[in-house]
Amino acid sequence: MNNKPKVGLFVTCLVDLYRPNVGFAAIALLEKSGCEVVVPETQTCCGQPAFNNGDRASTIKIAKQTIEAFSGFDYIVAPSGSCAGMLKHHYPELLMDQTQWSDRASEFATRVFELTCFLVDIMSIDLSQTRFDSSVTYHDSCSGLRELNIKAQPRQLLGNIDGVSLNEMEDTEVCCGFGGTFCVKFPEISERMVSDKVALVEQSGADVLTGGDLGCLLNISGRLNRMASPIRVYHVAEILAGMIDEPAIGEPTSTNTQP
Amino acid sequence: MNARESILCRVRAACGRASETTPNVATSTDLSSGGIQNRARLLAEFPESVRQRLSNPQPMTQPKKPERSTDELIRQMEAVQISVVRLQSTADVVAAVDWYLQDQGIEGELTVAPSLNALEWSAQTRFGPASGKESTSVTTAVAAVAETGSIAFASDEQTPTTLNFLPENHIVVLHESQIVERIEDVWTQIRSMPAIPRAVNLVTGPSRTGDIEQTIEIGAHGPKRMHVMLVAAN
Amino acid sequence: MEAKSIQFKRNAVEALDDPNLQAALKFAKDGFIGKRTAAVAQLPEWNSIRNDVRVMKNHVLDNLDHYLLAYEAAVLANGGVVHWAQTPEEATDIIATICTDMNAKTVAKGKSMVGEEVDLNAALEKAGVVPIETDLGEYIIQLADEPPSHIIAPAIHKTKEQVTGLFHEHHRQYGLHEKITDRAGLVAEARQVLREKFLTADVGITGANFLVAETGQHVLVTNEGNGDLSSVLPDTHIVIAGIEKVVPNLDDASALLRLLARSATGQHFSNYTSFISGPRRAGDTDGPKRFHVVLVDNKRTEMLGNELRDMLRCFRCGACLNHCPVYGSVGGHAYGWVYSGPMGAVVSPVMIGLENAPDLPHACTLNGRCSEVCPMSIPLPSLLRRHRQATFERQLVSNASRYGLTFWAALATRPRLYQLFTQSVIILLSRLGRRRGYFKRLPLAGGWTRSRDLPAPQGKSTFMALYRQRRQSL
Repeated sequence: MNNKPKVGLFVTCLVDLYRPNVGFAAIALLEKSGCEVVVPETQTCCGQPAFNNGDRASTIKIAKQTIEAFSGFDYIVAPSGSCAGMLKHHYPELLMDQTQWSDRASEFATRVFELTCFLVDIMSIDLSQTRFDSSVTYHDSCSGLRELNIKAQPRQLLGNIDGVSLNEMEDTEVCCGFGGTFCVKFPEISERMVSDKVALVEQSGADVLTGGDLGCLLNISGRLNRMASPIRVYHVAEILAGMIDEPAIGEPTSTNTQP
Repeated sequence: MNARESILCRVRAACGRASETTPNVATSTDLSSGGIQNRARLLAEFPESVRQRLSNPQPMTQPKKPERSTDELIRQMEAVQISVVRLQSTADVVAAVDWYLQDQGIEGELTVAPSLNALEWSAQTRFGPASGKESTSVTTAVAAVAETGSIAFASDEQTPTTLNFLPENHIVVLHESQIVERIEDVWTQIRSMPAIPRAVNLVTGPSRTGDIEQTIEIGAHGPKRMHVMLVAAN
Repeated sequence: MEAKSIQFKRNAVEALDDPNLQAALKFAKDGFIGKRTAAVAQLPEWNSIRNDVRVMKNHVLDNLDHYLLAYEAAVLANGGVVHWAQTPEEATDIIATICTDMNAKTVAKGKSMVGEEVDLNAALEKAGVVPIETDLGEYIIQLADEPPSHIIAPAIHKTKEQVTGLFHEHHRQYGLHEKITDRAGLVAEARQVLREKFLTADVGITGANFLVAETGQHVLVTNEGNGDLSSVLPDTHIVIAGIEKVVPNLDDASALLRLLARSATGQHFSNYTSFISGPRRAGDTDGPKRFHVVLVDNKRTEMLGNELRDMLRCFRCGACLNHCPVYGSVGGHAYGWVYSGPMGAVVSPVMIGLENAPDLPHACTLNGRCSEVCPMSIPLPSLLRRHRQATFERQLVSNASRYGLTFWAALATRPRLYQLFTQSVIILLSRLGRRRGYFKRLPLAGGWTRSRDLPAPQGKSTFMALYRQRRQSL
C-alpha cells in the first residue's frame, strides 16, 4: 500500500463545473493503474483565463497557490492537455525571476502530467475488461498536442479497449476555434472554425467524438447540437474508464439520478 | 546625431553595450582608394566571434551529398521544367542550338553570350547583352548545383545578366565539370574570383507565378523555356 | 497606408461574409499547406538546420551593429551608397530624393514588404514619380488600389474572375478590349504590359531577402524574375531593407534559403535567387550605373531591446499565415495593415501602435500551429501573450472584460469562496438547463450561443462538492 505512487488530481475548472464524471473517471483510471489519488481542496483553476488575457500578476498568484496545493505528491495529473501544459511549461516561465519560487516551479513541473500520457508513459494500465462498442474519432487539442506531445497515448489506450474502432478525421490537429475566451471575444471567427471542425467530424463517419480537453469538447458538442447532429461527445477519460452511463456532453438527463 | 549614428546607438543600447562607440574607420565608395583595406581595419574593431563569422563560414548542417551529382542535377532540373540534352563536346553546341530552335518551333533573333564567341556561329549572330527584342539567348554558367537543380550565373562582360532574364528562351551551355554538390560549393568558387561579380543569379527553372488562385503558370516575366546543353567531361 | 487594424472585429465579420474572399482563401489553404509539408519531409536535416539558423540569427541580433557596419563597408567597396532611415518618413524622403535627383518619371518596383510598411508608393506619387509594381500579385492589387493581403502572395484574396475584371478595366489604355478569362492569358497580358515598363523605367526599387555582410550583396528571391529585371534594367537600383535582414556570410544565407522556399511555397528553391551587389563593374555591358541601399529601422531597434526580440528572426516566409486558422477564416485585409496573420499580429502593434491594433494579439486561439511550422522557431503565441499583457496593463481591453477578469481572479485566488460560488452557479445552471441538456441562449453568453448550444452542466453539483460528499460517506 505504501509504495503506491501518490497522485494529486488537478481537476480543472471546466471538469469541476461541467463534467464531474470526467474527474471521477480520472480517479478510477489512476486507481486502476495502481496509484493512490487525492484531490487537494485548495485548488481552483490553472490560471489560463488570466494568463491568456494578459493579467500576469493574478496568474502568478494562482500559480503559487496551485504549487502549494500540490506539494507532497509524487505526481500531479490533470485530465486536460491545456491545463497540464500551463502547469508544466508556463508556471516555471512565469516564476523564473522569483528566486524563492523558480526552482520550486521547475521541480513542480517535472511531476505534472496529462492523464493519458501519465497512464501510458509513467504507469501501465490494463483496460482489457473495458468495452465500448462505437466508432470513435479523436480531436487533438492544440495545447496538449504541441506543448506536451499528446498524440499516440490516447489512441493507444483507446486501441486497448474492446469494441472501439478509431475513425481518424481529416485535419485532426487543426484548432476547433475554442481558444478559451477567444470564442466569446471573436464569436464569428470561432463559429467558422468550429463549423469547419464539425464538418470534418461528420465526414469521419464516427458515432462518437472524443478528446482530452473539455473546453474543445464543449465547443464542438455545442456546434454539433446546434446542427442537430446525432454524434455523441465524451471526454476520453469517460470512455477509458467505462463511465459512459451518463448522458453525453450536452445531452439531456434521461433519469433523475444524481451523478 | 545623424540617422546612422542614432540607429547604431539604439542597437548597442538594446544589446546592453550602450557604452561602446561606432569605430571611427573611414570607408570609401571607391575600390581604387582602398575600400578593401579600410574594411579590414573596420573588422579589426569587432569582437572575435564576429570577425570569425565574417571571414570563415562556421559549420552549419547541410543536406547530405548526392551519390551521383550529375544524375541528381538532371533529376532536379527536370523537376523544375528545365530540359536537358547531353553533348559530347562544345563543338556540338551550335548544331544542337539550331536543332532545338527548329524542334521547338522558335523563331526570332538569337543573342549569344560573348563567352561563346569562339564557336562556329552563323555570320549574323549577335553577341552581347539582351535588349528585349531577341527571342532566345545562349549563355554559359559558372556552376550547377545538384542539390537544387540551380544553375549559377555570374555577371561580367562575357556573360551579361540580361541574357538570363529578357529572352523567352534561355539555352545554357554547361560543362559536366561545373556540377557541384551544394549551394555552398558555388560560394567557394565565387570567393576565389578576383572581385565579387555584380550579380550571381541562381536560376532554378523557367519563370513562374502562382499569383492567380495559387495555380502555377510558366513565363511570368523571365524565360518561358530553359534548356541545358550538358557537355560531357573529357 | 492608413491602418485599419482598430476595426479588426468589423473587418473580420465582413471578410467572413465575402464569398469571393472565402473562395480565394480555400485555394490558398489547399495549396500552401500540403506543398510545405511535402517539401519539409524531403529534407531530413530540417530540424537541425532550423536549430543552426536560430543560433546564427541570435548571434547576428546580439551583434547587429557590427554586421550592419561590415555590410555597409562592403557595399561602399562595391561602389554603392548606403542610407540609414529611422522612420518611414526618413526612408521615403531618401528614396523620393534619389528619384527626383535622377529626374525619374517611372519606377519599376519589385515586391517589398518594407516598401509597403513605409508606404513608399504614396511618397513616390507625391514626388511626381509613377511607381509600377511588377510582381504579378502586387500589380493586381495596385490596379485594385488595395494593400497586400499576404506577405508572399499579395493578391491571394482575388479570384481569377476579379483579375479578369481588373485587366479589362485598366488595360484598355494598352488596347485590350476583350475579357481575358484564362490564367495563362492573364499572365501573358501582364507580361506584355510590364515588359514595356521594365525597359523604360528610370529607377528600379526592390526589397531584399537578406543582406550579406561578408560581400555587401543583397539576396533577392522571386519566382517571376521581376526583381532581377527591376534591378538590372534601370540606370539606378535602390534596395530598401529592414536592418534585421543582415546575415554574416554566404553560407549563412544558404542555410536560410534552404528553409525559405520550402516554408513559403513548398519549393526546394525559388526560381530566381540572386546575389546582387553594387552598380555595374568596369567592362560590364549591363546592370545599373548607380546603386543605393536604404536601411530601415522603423521600431526594429525597439523590438531588439524588448521581449519581442525573437520576432526579428522573421524572414517573412508566410508559413504562419498559411497555417493560422484565424487567417484562413478572415484573410489578410481584416488585420487592417500591411502585415497579417500571426507575424502581423506581433509586428503591426509595434509599428502602428498597440492602441491602434488592440484586438490583433487577442484574435488568436494560441493553438501554436504557427510556431510549430515557423522555420525561424519564433514563439509567436508567447509574443502575442506579451502584447496581451500590455493591452491589459495599458487598459486597452474593454471594461467588461477587464472587470470580469478581475472578479474571476479574485475568486480563483480564494479557494473556499471560489467553491461556494461555483457550486451556486451550478445549482442555478442545472435548474435552467439540465433537463434539456443544453442552452440555446443564455444571458452574458451571446458570443457562445449565437452559433452553438451551450452544453448544460452534468449535474447539480461541482466535482469538488461531490468529491467531498463521497469522502464523507466513506
